Amino acid sequence: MDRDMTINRLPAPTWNWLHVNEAGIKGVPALQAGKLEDETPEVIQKQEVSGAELSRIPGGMGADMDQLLSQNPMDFSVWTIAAGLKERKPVRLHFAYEAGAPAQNLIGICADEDSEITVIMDFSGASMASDHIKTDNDENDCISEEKAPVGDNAVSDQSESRKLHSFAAVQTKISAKKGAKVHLVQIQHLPEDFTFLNDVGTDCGEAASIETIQVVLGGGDTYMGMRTELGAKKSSLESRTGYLLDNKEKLDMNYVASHTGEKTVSRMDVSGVLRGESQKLFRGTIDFRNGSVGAKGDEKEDVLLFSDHVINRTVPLILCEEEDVEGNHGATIGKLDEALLFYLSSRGISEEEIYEMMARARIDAVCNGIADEKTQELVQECLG
Amino acid sequence: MKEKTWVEDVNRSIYDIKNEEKDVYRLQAGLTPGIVAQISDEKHDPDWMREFRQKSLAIYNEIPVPDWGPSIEGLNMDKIATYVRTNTNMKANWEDVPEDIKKTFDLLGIPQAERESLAGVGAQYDSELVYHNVKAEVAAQGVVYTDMESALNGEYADMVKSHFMKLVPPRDHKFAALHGAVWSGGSFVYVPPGVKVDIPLQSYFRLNAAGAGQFEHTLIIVDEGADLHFIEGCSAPKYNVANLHAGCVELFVGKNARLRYSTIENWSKNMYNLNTKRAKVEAGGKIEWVSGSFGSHVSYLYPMSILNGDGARAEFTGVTFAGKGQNLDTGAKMVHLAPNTSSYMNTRSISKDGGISTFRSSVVVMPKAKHSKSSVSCQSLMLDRISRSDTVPAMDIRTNDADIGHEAKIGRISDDAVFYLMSRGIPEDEARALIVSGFADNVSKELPVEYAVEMNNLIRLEMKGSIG
Amino acid sequence: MSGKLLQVKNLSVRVEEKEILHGVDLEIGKGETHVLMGPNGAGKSTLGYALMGNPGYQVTEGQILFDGNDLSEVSVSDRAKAGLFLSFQNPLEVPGITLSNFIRSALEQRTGERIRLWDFRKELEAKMEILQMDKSYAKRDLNVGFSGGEKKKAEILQLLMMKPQLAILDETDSGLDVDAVRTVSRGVEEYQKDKDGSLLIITHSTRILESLHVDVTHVLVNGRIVAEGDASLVDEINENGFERFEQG
Repeated sequence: MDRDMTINRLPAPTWNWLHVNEAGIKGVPALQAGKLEDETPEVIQKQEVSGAELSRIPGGMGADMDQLLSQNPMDFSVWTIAAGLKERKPVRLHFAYEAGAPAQNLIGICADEDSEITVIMDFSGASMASDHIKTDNDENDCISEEKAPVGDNAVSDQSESRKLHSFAAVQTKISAKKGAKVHLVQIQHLPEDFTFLNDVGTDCGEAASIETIQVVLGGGDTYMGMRTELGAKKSSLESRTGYLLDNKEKLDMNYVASHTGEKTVSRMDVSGVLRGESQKLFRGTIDFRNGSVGAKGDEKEDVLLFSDHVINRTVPLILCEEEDVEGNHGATIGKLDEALLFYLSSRGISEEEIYEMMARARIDAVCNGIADEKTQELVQECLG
Repeated sequence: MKEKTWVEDVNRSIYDIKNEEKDVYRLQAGLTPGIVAQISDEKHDPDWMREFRQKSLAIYNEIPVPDWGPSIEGLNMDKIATYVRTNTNMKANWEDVPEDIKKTFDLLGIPQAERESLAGVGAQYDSELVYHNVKAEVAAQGVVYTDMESALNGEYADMVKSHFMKLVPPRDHKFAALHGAVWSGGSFVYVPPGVKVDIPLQSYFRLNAAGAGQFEHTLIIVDEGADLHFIEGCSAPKYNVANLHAGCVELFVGKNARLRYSTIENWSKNMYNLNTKRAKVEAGGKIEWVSGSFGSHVSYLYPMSILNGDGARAEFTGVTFAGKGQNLDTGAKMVHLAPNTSSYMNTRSISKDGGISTFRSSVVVMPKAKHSKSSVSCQSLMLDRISRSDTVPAMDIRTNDADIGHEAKIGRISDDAVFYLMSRGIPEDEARALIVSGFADNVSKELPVEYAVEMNNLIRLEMKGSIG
Repeated sequence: MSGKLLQVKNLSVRVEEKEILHGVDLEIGKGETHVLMGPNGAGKSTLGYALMGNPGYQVTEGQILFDGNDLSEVSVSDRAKAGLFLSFQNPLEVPGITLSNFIRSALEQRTGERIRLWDFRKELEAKMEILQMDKSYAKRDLNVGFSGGEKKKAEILQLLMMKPQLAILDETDSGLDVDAVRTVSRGVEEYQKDKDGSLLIITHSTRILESLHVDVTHVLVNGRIVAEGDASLVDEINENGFERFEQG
């Protein structure tokens, strides 16, 4: 049975006419277990676990995503590193999705006290022959507006929407105990006919640190959710996301750093490039809850718009019910800085090439943080 | 350590004077087509307005209450007498205004301010304007400043008809529809082409009756190349039942014209302030909003600027102070529809004693708005850990030829700054009040000096709500 | 043609609403080194930007000929490809692109051919040594987090790698200590002898000129060339400043 779902709800809603409060997806098909290959270093334990405990950690997409995934009773594939162990070699997870075979994966990462683990995921898929991709106007499109912001001058972008032939949903739950360090790297290079849901939920123990690097290079409609519970003292999140969208690709994000512990720190950096007729909606929330004394939260967004037909939406929230906190948000959106453009062209580089270079530079800047060379190469390969 | 006794509500004795409701004509509570028709009768509405009110009422009954902002559950529309007025006609001579009303406005400093620095004054008491006056030299320039009812039936009737609720249509939201059905009072201003009004016009709104609503409509048209500063002040005494203010402000700024619209709002803390303000700016024109929100129990207030012509500009400078029992949801909306337009938002919010302040904004840049610029800066200050401060901005950018910047900051008063001031002999509460006044100086700097002083007094009252 | 590499004829330039240069004439021959001096605000940097074609600098009158070709319709990047180079006073930071990758793609853009990595690296490292730059800078993002001195060296490194016909150095010596000025001068000398390159050195001090052979000195005051001379003019200004020209 196909189902409709509403995900990526903004933690504090705003005007409905902006169409940013949530994302709706219609006609989500029933899912089967997705194929997954792994390379696991010896010291790390891999097991199938029924998800009770992990599923209690909230993700960024919300209840509808949890419900979708629970339709198909399935265990979490969990990678665990024992207390005190620090493994430099990454766990590699290759997800290879097939066209026309809607799939789901549940992943758990458990890092015991003072351990360190790196998990690298790459999401790829096989494209369907292009004539099978039907477009119609069944309005299963969260990002496009039904109604214009104002009166007659409105654009009503009746974007075409895809039938959800190629569909994949992945949920990753991370439990990082006291002093643990978790590095999560996700590279998404799915074909353009895919609808992809990527949800992450993390629970942090005292002084645990989470570092995520996500790169979005493909996919048709990509939904990403990430929620990090910074509940214990001095736990921290550093999240970096880079994307490169073209054609009619869409990216819809909902990131929440929930600070309840003292002296917790979060940093979310999102940067990307929109080309063609692509659309992006970033919801980023720093939530300072009562008790988060001495917490700090930082959000930064940097978007380059390379075409006149893109739609860029940004909703950066700071919610606060604690006095002794520091929250910052900054965003710059637009075309390339003119001084920079002049500087680069004075070295003989054509405007077109500069735009190409700067698009890659965005992704490279995000990927610089990936210690693993193979992954770096994969990204370069995807960039062509 | 000296123990402090906190006062429930700050001393706002001036604002809290209640006058006994006497000789008043009061409609029954609740809202029906009959009541709305009665309003039309009372006000001698032209036919189109009678019809407009009824249509608005139908829309009002159709549209749900907003599901995204502060709760307005405490506001029971069935219990609100939507139309209250004293049996007083508008006066052009201050001496003729009834004694108790006059005393109230005297205490609020209205005629005094007029004498000193204003080009014209309108004072609305509950639903009707009770006093209206424009200086002769301003009138001689051709500036029209009158109450809405007179405008509707007078020389400018056509102009009113072609502009009334065109910027804020009743469909916009539930309270815009309510306003369309029951609006009463307010001001009409027309500044002819090229006329520069050197001193500000002011209008003052006072809601006196308990459990009542005020629905004034302000329509200002600043024609090509003209220039005006309009100041609006609001207050009401405190009652134990909810009051409602659902006013509407429509501003039309012509080519190369400029309008500055300043508001210091200090409604009592039982007021639901669901006000709608909107400006449309033509080529080369500029709207400047200066807004201080201090009063009311719940506020929904987001002046919108529609940049409709090439090179149109908008500035919004605001401060919001949410104290005990207040939930103030304020901000601004900017819509860029034309090339080379620019918008600039600079706001400060302060939360104290359990107050909730929310900064909410939107910047929409449409594909036609090539080479546009927008910059938003919002800062929030938390004065204790029982209050709340949220920042909810949104940006929707649809052209690559735009330069969009946004920054938000939240934090608290720096202990070092307090220490520094105290080391120079300033007591702690005074030091904190000084720092908060300084934090809000983005707005006070933009106000005429008398108003800046009034605003800083309000901040002091809020900050130093402690005795002993 | 006269064999002049650069001919600036009666050039007037406006920035926003203000005219900065009023009818400047200047000629530079192949292999010559010219110095453009003048007090702050004279319009020296404006001339550099106008030659390079910064869109913010509008040519309202006059002509720029490079190798006999009128540059008025030539884009910035095509001017670079034709052999013009401007060393920026404040080079911009470009996160995500390493210094080495940047120079390589600029060179490949110019020739349209791929450059062998091995040859490129060898040359780059040799030039970096001349400039006493740590090799690690090659792998760092262009100008990001560089000190003022390192930024200037990175500009000269690009100059040495790109080998233009005419290099305009805009205040390349400003903000540098004595050692750094000497290193930068060495790089500039290397450029001169390497390819018989022409130079237009914009400066308001004379430190960078000590070890360089100067053919012609131009003095720019209030947007006009007020004096021209040989290298001795540099010494005179060194001693007496610009006062005499400003009064004229």
